[in-house]
Amino acid sequence: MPCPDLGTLRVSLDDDAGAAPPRLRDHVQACASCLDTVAELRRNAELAAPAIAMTGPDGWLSPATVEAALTRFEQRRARLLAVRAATADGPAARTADPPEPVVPLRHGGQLARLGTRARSVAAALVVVVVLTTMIATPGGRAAAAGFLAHFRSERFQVVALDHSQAVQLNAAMTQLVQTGVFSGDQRELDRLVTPLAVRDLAEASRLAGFPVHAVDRSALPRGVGATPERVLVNRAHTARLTFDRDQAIAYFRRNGQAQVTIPERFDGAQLVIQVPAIVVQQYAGRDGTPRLLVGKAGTIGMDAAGGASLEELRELVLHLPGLPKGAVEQLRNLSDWRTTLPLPVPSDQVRWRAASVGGSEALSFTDSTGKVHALLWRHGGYIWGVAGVIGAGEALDVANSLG
Amino acid sequence: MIAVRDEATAAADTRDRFEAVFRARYGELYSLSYRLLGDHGEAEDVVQETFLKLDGQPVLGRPVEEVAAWLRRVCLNATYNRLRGRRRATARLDRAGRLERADEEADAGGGPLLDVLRAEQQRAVRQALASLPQRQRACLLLRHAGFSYAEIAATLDLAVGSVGVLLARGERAFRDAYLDRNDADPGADDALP
Repeated sequence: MPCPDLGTLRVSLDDDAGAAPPRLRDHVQACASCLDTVAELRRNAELAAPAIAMTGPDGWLSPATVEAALTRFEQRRARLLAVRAATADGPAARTADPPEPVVPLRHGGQLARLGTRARSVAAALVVVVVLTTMIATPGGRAAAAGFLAHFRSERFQVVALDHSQAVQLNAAMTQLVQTGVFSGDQRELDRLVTPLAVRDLAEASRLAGFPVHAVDRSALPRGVGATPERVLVNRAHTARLTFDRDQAIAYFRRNGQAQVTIPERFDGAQLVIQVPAIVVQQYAGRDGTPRLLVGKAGTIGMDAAGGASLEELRELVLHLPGLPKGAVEQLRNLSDWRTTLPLPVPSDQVRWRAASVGGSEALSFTDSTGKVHALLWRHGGYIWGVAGVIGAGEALDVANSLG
Repeated sequence: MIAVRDEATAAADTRDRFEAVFRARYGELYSLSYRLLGDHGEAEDVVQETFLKLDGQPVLGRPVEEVAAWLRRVCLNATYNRLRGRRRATARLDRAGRLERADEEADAGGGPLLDVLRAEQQRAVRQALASLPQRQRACLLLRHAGFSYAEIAATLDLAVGSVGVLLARGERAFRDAYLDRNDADPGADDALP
């Protein structure tokens, strides 16, 4: 049998194209040239698959989202028809677009499609949820808030979420905010997700209340600028989330749990979060785009005020309908939820392992492309993080040079 | 009278069919367009343009696979047009402008860590895709968005047997463009086990 062409070899890598005929398989196994070609084709496909997957929108579009899009489409079509009618039989009118712009979707996943206010509340809720080991989400903007929260705990533990769990969690979180089960003061909550860009590390140190130094030049990966091109600070502050009992009962009922009982004293109970100062240095690559991020944060505190304890509120949220069972189970199994921060990790996109930084226990993460690496560890009373489009060894070099 | 009712019924049937196609295909078209544009508003706009073109087209009466392939083809072309327009507009931006956009993205999410890196990686992938010949790009995108060889062939008006070689060449070109943009593959040698 002559060597098969490139296309045939490529098709043989894919299951849905049907199993390769035995003659083809036998030939490839015995032909060094074809083996090399198949190996290269596989490498290329394995690089492209996760990279292209990363460009997709967060989560799937719910039927409600599609219905809303259809409504917007009908409105646009009606405007177009009106324009055509107004301009009679003018040929240009037949191809003209409607004069009004289409109503754009808000940026991001379900949380991001909420208004600014609701988004802040949702993000704050994610932080609280992470801290009380209730629930968390790796999706959309909520993930950003969740990652900030990674700097705020005594120890870490990975909570692995697959794609469907992440989507389910995101949806449940969105509902909690939309229905007003949790709400908060806008200005306080905005500060959770709005870091301040400052002039330099001296100013960052002053605002944070702890020293922050640039990464030693000798430890920086090749191609990364010697000084941070951007420094971001979240100042230490307090944020509160208020629980609404009536809304919570209505939420349970809407989700098929009519018999739920929540003590009246829970109404108006608050989760009070002492958010630590956080400083993030952003280093650029040769083309000016962000390549390396280095974070340092204090520790976080949280308590409950009003008629419910922190433990009671945690239990209540763990019972909320709509949360993925696997995630809830992992959260319940944490040995000490008051000091252990669960890291919500999308298991289909990120790999992780235990590591060590300067003798301290750390967690090391790699994304699905193998190009983004991150380290997270606790040392000297601070939480530290390094993340970047860098190798695992380079991340470790940067980490070991800190603190 | 009967004729009038029949026309009305036919119009209603066409409308129902259109809406059914919209509901069935909106998500995949939106996802395709978004993968190249990286902007939710623009992706929705492109998909709406695509369905506006379908409105009243005889193809709507064809079998569902043909309608789907027609929609994907029109949607990809509309997306390419949008990208070309955007490229002309952004050609004037200097380095400061690019940095400013990166800043905006970081601020928009409020999470300066993984969000920034993810946005950067997505941009690198989109730039690599944009550098490929149009058919290779479409083939790669469709395959890795989960479409079968037959669906790709129908969309690109190819023989099914030609998809494999187009995909192989596209993946090789993508790898070259993607790694070239990043100087080297930083994770290739020391990725976690």
